[in-house]
Amino acid sequence: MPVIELDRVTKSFKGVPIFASASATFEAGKIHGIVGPNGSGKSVLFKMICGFILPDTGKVTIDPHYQSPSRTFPEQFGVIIDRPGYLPQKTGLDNLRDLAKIRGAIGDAEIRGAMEKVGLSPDLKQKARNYSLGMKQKLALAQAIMEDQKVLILDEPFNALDVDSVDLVRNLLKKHREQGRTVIFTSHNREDIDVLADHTLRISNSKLERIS
Amino acid sequence: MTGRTLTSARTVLWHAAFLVVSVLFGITVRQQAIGRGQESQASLNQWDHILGFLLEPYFIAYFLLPVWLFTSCVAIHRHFAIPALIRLGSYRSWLRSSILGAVRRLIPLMLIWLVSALLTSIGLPYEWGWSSASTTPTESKQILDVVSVQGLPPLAVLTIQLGLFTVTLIGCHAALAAVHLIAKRRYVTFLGAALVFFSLLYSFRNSFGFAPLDFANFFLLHRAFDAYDPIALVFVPVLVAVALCFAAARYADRQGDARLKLPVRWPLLVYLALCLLGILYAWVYKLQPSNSPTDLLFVAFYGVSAGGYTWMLYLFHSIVFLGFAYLFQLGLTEELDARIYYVALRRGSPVRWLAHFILPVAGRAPILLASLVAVTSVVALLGNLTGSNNAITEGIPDPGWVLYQFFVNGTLQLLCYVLITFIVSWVSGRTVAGLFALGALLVLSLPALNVGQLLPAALNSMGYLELGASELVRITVVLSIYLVVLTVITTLVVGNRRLFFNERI
Amino acid sequence: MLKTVRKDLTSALSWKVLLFVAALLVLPSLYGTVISDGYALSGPVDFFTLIMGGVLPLIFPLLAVAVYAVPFSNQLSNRYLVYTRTRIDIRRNLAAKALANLILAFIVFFLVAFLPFLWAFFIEPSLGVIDQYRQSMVGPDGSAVSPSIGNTFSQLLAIGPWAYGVGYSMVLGLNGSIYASLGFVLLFLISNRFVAIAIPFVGYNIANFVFGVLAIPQFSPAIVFPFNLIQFPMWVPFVPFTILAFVALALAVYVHRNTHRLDVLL
Repeated sequence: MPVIELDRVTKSFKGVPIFASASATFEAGKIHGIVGPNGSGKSVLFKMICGFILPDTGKVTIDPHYQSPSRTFPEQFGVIIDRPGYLPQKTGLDNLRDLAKIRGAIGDAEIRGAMEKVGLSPDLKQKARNYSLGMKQKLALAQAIMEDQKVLILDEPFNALDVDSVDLVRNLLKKHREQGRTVIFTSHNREDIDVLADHTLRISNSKLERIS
Repeated sequence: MTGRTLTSARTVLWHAAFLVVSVLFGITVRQQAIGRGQESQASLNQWDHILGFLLEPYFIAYFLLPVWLFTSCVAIHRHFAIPALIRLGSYRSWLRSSILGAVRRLIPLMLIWLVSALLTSIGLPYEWGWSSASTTPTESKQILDVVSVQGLPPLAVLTIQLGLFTVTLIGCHAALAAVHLIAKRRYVTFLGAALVFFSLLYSFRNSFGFAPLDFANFFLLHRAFDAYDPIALVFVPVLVAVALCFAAARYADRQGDARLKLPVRWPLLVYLALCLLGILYAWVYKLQPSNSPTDLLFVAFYGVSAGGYTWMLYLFHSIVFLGFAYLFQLGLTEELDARIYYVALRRGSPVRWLAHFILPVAGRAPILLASLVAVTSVVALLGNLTGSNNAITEGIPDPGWVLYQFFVNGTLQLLCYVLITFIVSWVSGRTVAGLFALGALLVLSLPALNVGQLLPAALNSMGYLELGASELVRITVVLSIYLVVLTVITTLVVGNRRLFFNERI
Repeated sequence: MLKTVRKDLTSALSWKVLLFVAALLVLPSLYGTVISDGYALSGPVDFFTLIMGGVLPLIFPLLAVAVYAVPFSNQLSNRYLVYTRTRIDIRRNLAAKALANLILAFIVFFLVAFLPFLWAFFIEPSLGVIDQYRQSMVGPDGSAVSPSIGNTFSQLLAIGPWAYGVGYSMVLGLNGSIYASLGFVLLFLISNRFVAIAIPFVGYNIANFVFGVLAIPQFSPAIVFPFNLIQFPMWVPFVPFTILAFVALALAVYVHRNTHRLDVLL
């Protein structure tokens, strides 16, 4: 069973169609890349997958392994949607601690490990408001992986990262795949897609087309 | 020109300017002294002018003090440099060094002030003792009337005034330096200086009952004579303050480079300070010793009544109760603007997110009210409000209803405010809309608009007590209905993913 | 530059803003007329005081920022302004927008005072909508007093009603533009839009309270609505105005000098 399946999904905002009868499947253990011009609906797609917004018609089905009946939003999904979200007056570590406290599944060790994996020092005294764009992006990545999430939904994860950090994150995602986990990401940089993606989809004319 | 030469030139210029201003002001003071002498038809001598100048409140409040506070702040920031700190070895040593620097800055200023007073007294008769003008009682309590009857010769009064003033200014400098050590932020030091300045301004115009907090006592000897007996006691609070500054420096030594971490964020600190200020205001301006703690609670949270409102009481009521909703909005803004997706995903469902977010806020409402009652009781106790419970609240139901209105209707009203602002923010997709909801509630609290007490705005005002017990129960019913309806609406809008925050374009 | 200002002014006048401004201009007079029955008004001055002294003093800064700063804040959050940097010099652009904000707020709040003035002094008396006024204004001892000693600014009545109407309207317009400017400038300095928009309103009410506690309400920001206080010299309301103007100017200069490193513009 695919991790995520879109079945003839339609979505429009103020009469402007974003998706018209779009269908796609995302298999487990693969890296899926999504390309499309700005404003094509990549963020909307991810929000529909996560359940934050509902399609007008059609269905988004999540593998029951990740979607228990008592939950609206899927479990074990790590996401980056829109711009990185953080509390500006707290340090990066405190931001992640705050999020980790919600489920209470991990402790400081895992949080620090996640930060180090993305190339962010856990001991930085700087408040998140003073982080560079790249650091904020890494913080968002850290929150997406720190609870050992099995499915990553990442909107432009390489944004604002320097060359070394891009390599770091690519290797991270490859390792994620080797562990049988699923990654869905978008990037406007074709190279990221070519290097990482097992399957590539394009958003074009309100449809999702598989191009590889 | 070397740096040192430039600094010396600047210092000379600065002292020269200070001398000019002092002399000019001294001339004005002299004219006033002569005028008073002519009025009382008594003879003057140099002490009428010299002491009149050294005890002149306007010169001290509007010139000397602001100049001193500003130069202290600048000196502190300049002195608080890594090379200096390394050489001195500790923050305590730095504070000592800073105070010594302040003394070195202050001595020339005091001398210039004294010299100006002496210069502008030329022409007046020179005597050792008091003039007949200064010892002639006058209708308005002039400054010299007070200091001349203390059994001290004028020279002793001069010495004590200069000594007190010097010690106080050094104390101000030490306090600002200690603030800088703890906060390590420039603007905090300047804010502290502004606070001292405005506190003194206020104290000059309005005598405060509690002597150590009446700042004018430490700048003006005639005020000190009224507040302290023997006069030597006036130095005690200042020396205690300086000792506290060294204790703060010791604390800073232990903290190292870390800045002071406030246990609460500053908007909450400001809010709590305003709550305290309002309660103190009600006590100082509205009550007598014959009043009771319940009277204080009634007056402080009077808010509006069916017949109208008093601006200050209404404003304070709004600050406390709408202020709570504002602080909630601040937290909501952070949550929605920064990380709603990440938190909601972890919670599992929007309604679960809502419950985890709103329920703690709901729990804080009765805690806030209990704290306000506690603070009111403490203020009443300190203010010796030990009268019967009916002094102010005559004509209203049993004072137990004061507590009912405060706790029961107060909690319901707070919760209504929170939910109203939440719904407006959520449905509109903009937390700024919540701010306008607060504005609307502020307006709808007015009795002319909330006719019949049917709108959930300021219904917990103590002013509604005059309507009787049955009306209070009716208000409870009204607020409860609103609360139920608002809770249902909140759950529905949050649970409806078509209305999920920010998803409407 | 003027062309840009004109363009900004035109684009600021969306239907929502126009509706809001229309309500702002009409509702106070309507409200004052409706409740006038319950008051013994001694003349147009009293009626004007009733109109202006009700709701407006409570939420004045909130209304001021709603005219331009709030709609403009969307441009900041959507990063629209960032994308204009390649098309127009950002400082010029910001200066034009600041000027548009100032002008719009001034005009709106000038009219907020001027239209009720026209209504109270000229239109209503000719229509006779409200009950007959008491013959004259009375002081505490019951003797008749001149309206020009009513409250601050009514000294202008000694010159004539137009001096009062235009003079007070200009003062209110200036104050409105200052609060609007504060809200506008704070949007660049404070990343939390809610806080930036809230500061003028929250600060206004806190300052009113604190100055009231200090027994110097004549120096509080609400003195621009002096209707519940004794008459003060006309320079008194310009003290808080000058301080606010200075703060707004200082912040504006800071923004102007630091456009290259303000987060919201990058």
